This record gives sequence, C-alpha cells and structure tokens, in this order.
Amino acid sequence: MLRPIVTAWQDRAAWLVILLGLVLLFFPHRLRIAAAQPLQVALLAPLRLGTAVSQSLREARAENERLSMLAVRLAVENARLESASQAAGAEPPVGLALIRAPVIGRDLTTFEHWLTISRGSLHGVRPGAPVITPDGVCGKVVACGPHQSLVQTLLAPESRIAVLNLRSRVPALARPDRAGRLFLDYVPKESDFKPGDTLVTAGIGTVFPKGLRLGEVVAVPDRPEALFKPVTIRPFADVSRIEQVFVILIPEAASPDSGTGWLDNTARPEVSIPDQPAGQ
Amino acid sequence: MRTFGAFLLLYLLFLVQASVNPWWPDLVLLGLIVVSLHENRITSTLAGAFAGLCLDMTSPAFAGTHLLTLAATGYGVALLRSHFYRARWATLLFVAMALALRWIAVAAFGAGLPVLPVLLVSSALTLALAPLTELGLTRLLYHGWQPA
Repeated sequence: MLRPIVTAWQDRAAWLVILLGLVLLFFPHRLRIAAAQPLQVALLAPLRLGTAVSQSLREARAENERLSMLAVRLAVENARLESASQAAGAEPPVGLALIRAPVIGRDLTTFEHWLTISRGSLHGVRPGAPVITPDGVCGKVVACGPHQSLVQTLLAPESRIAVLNLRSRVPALARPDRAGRLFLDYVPKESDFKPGDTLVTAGIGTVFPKGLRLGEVVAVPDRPEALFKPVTIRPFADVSRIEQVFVILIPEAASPDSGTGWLDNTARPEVSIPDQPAGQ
Repeated sequence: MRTFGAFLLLYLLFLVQASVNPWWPDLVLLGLIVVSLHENRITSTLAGAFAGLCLDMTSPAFAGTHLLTLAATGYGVALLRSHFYRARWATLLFVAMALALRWIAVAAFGAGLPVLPVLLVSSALTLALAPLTELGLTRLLYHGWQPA
C-alpha cells in the first residue's frame, strides 16, 4: 500500500525537476548567465585549482632549471673572478716593480724548462729579471724581444739558484734534478737541514733578491759515505701548471751587470727573517 | 552515503570530461545511466539534473539543455529498468536513447550540435564503453568487488 504512494511521490518530484529544467530553458538568456556565473566558478574550481597547481609546478620547474643554470654560470664566473683576484692580489708586497705576464708558450719536450711570456722589452722586461709566481720563484728571463720574453725556469738543467735555509740560515746552491725537484749541491754534512724547512733565495747572486720563497726540504737522507749532505727540495711554484707569472722589473739605474745595489731592500717583511738566527 | 557517492562520482566524471577534448566518450552520461540503474527515480532525476547542470556550466552560454535531457534520462532509465530486468543490451539501448535525446535537445534548444565527425566518434566511443563502465561502476558503487 505504501510503495505506490512513495513511487507516486517520487514520480511527481521527478517530473517537477524535469519541468523546472524545461522552464529554465525559457528564462531570459541574460538572467541564466548571471545565475550560472557563480555556480560555474564553484563547480569548476577543482579544475582551475589543478590547472593552477600544474602551471605553477611547470613554472617552478622551469625556474629551478633556469636558476640551476644560473648557479652553474655564476659558479664558473666566481671561480674565474677568484682566480683573477688571487692573481691580481697576490703580488708580493715588496718594494719592487712587478709586471704581470701571461705564459704563452712552453718548451715542447718537458713543458717545464722554458716558458715564453707575453711581455718584452717594450714593457720594461730585461734579461736577467727574476720571474716569480704567488707561490714562489719560477725562474729568470734570459732573452727579450719587444713583446715577448724567454724564461728559464728553476727546473731547467742550466738553472742554479743561491738559497738560504730560513730556519738555520745555512746557504746553499740549488740545481734541478731529473725528477722535477731541486737538489742542494755542496751542503756540508754537519749543516742543519731538516724535512719541512723553508728555503728562500739568498740574494747573493746577481739575479734574485733576497727572501723570495723557493721551496721546502722534503728529504735529507743519511748517507755516511757521501761527502756532502744530500738535500732534496720541492719547489713551491708548480712550473708545469703556471699560467701567468710576475716579472720583477730591474730598475733603470741599476743592472745586474753593473752591481747588486738594487737587490738590497728586497727581503719581504712577512717572511720575517731574523737578523740573527736562533741559538747564535 | 551511497547517494552521496553517486553524486560525487558524477561530479568527478564531469571534471574529467571537462578537461578532455570532445572526441572522448560521454563519461557523465555513462555514469548517470549506471547510477539510474540502481537508484530510485527521484535520486536518478536529481543526479541527472546535477550532471546536466555541471555540463551546462562548461558550455559557452548557459543553456539548460543538458540539465533537462540528463534529468529526463535519469528518470527514464530508472522508470524503464524494471522492464528489462538488467539485461546487458538494455544498457546499450539506454545509452543510445540518451544520446539521441540529448543531441536532439541540444539541436533544438541549445547552441547547435558539434561537428558531425566529433559527434559520431564520441557517440560510438560512448556506446563501446557502456558495458565496461556499467560493470566497473556498479562494482565500485553498489556491489563491491567480491564475486556475486
């Protein structure tokens, strides 16, 4: 008995909905659009939200990629600037005029014995001028053209440099060995050399000012049968990787041939070489 | 709860359909027919009206034809289903009738039919998808996935 009543009620309600839909068709168009607008916004909100999220994700990914590329580019630029800054700011604060010179050539057999730099006599470079790097002594100029110079490095077989043990003040003469290191010639057996000692230029030749860092003692083997003490040195300057050097300009008034007066005031203050070695 | 699930399903189908191109099958219509096969007449009619209202929202100008035709479809399917006792081909018949009713109403009251190839492809895909949709949605909403 109840079921037909419920069904009849449902039928009437359903027909009412359909009738309302039909009536809605005849509503003024402007009215329908005005009524539909807020409903449209509400119903399509998930789609709009999804589209917005997807769009922002795409934009975030693109931005992330762009920023990553930018970061890499900036890192490269930063490294380049740091390198240039180090090179520019690494000039040793000595009272000598320096000129920076890019390395533009090397000897083709060892890459370590001879360098060609892009500064010559027109820039004030003269034969015999010491060549250094921020790490230490590199060599000396042996020939000059107007725009280029030839540098004999401290690893060239003909190279000889007077050195001084910064700790014990013992002088010696450094020459290259075949392993890319330096060897001290004629060091008395009783002289004080220990691994780790820093060697600087002695300033007793006519080329290098006193006090330029040269290298570090790496081995002092004990050989009772040898006449002299064998001392091996690792140069501070890695000649094989040098890209630019500094040439110490010899003053016009003095030349290596005419005297060594210009070498007097070249001891670097920060090396702090004591006037009297400790214990003496 | 089941009725709410049916409305939610229709709304989700509407969202899917609103975000795809018109070549796709009429998912809302398929969902409505499955719902109408299991709900009473007033619920089916209201579900149809709701689905039609949603579809009308996506049309450039709110026309109301989808509301009318889908409400009528929901009511009609709920009314006629007992005569077919859920025969498989009845679903196809309902879908075909609903498609015809809908496109006639759209042509008569709405902004005109879409281009014929789109209409044909979409209708064919809707018919082809009908058995699978009925099976899937019936199990999802009404019978569950346990074997009968």
